[in-house]
Amino acid sequence: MELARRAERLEPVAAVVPLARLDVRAEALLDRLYRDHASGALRFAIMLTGDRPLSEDLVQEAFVRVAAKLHVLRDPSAFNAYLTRAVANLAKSHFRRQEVAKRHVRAVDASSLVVEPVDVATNDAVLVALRTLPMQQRAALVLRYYNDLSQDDIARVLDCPVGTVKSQLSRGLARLRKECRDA
Amino acid sequence: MRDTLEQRLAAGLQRVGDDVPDDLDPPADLEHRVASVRNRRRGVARLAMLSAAAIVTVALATVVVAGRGPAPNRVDVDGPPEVADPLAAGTVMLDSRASFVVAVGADGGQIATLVNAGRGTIIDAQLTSDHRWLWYLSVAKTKKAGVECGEVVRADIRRGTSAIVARAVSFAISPDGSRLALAGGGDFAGGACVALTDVTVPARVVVTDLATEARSTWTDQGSPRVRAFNQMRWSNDGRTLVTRICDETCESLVAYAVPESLGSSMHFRIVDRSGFLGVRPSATFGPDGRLFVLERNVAARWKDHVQSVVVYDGVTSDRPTTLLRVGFGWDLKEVVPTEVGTFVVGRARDASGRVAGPTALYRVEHGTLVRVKTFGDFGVLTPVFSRP
Repeated sequence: MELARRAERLEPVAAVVPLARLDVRAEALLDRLYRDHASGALRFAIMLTGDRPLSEDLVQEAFVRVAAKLHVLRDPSAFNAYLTRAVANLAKSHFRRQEVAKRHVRAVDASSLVVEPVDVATNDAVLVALRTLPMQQRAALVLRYYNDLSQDDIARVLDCPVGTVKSQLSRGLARLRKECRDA
Repeated sequence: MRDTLEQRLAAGLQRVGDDVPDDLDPPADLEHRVASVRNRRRGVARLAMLSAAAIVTVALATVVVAGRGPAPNRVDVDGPPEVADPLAAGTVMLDSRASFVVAVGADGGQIATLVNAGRGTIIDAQLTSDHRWLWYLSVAKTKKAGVECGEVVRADIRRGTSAIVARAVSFAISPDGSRLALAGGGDFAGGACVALTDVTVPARVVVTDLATEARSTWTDQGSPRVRAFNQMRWSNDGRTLVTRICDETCESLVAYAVPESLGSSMHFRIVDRSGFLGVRPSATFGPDGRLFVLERNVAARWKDHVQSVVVYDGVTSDRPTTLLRVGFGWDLKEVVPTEVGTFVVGRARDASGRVAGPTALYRVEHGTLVRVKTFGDFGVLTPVFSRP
């Protein structure tokens, strides 16, 4: 039986390192951080990408990257902001890689490289238009209109100047209006 | 003031957000992936420092660092996050006996051996609600269980690894695995535990939040002093801790109210005084959250001796109802409330009080005992519930 085989691999007590208290603490902390922040990050990722399986991958990867740096973060209490920023950056990298692949790998059927959102609420014209925007504009709009963050907070989360946030929001809205009008 | 487009955008995003549940379970390999990234970064940092040295030295050092850290561009072969239950199907209780922890089914049969500690006697085993982490208390064969300190070990059933986490006379891990309760003498700082045979050190129960390291403590200030603890059990909601203690007698089943935010001291109240301190837990929480207690009402005359399984409200520890009541013809040892029924372990006695049959597992059905399986050598049984 598989479980019995696993059980046989359990190390005898004499062989283990005494008092692994800190490991337990770190693991419990990870568990708690994930439960506290992953659902918010997943919502953010789905809004950016429109693709739930992709979003789940992005959130897990982002979480792993941020959690691995937890002990050196300048402000560990801002874990959520770091995670949100990592999700935005990973989403941006993902779509950039797909675009590059689409341009240069002619032998591959380009239709198999899914760039357009496939999963969530694609019949909503505003959301469809949102996903045509550059990733930074998408992120700024989602943080403004879903998370209700101020421009200062968005700048902190995305790690960019407030002026950049203002222009991203303004350009993003203008382009949304144009896309929706054209549609 | 938002215009129409902004309102449509906010409403559309809200609909998308509403489809995502608030509580996501962490992937089973999360800790492993974080550790891998961390190790890889450490490897990179070491490499950068060494690059300032001579090329030959760097080359040699790179080999060393690469040898210590994980392989670059490591592919996770564990696959997607685990959804399968790491515990064998059909397991309804754990049996801690000798140096083993065994998964047991509803028919009393052994399904799998989960732990072979190789030394000592395992006197208690508890499983977290996700069925991944098995915690157990192992006491050296020369030590007295309930009085002297043993090793609290956490085993990862999925990976087949284990580590000693603390030393204590008794322990309990909360169902979600976030809070560890340790009982014994001393304050457990740095893994220290003092046996209750040392009269200069008061007994303590310390609950620690494993994420924040916040602690709440109960320190014995009574007279006479507490000199032994039975196995401790968390309520299913993680707010109450019960155990039976020995002071002058070994009668008191006590419930500690554990504060939601740890830090303040804890207090207990006595649930009942009809127990006895055996080597097995006489109280445990059932799948419905109620507290099942094995009570022994010792009377002056042997034939008036009565044992009962009494069920208390799991939150208030009051409103007792009697599930089973047997007379002097029985010697019950522990109660195991599971999702497939309530079991007791015991043996029959004859009219003179002598043992009249082997120890066996019985199922409680309509106030009577139905034999399930005869045990040659049974240990401490702990109920196992389905994963949430």
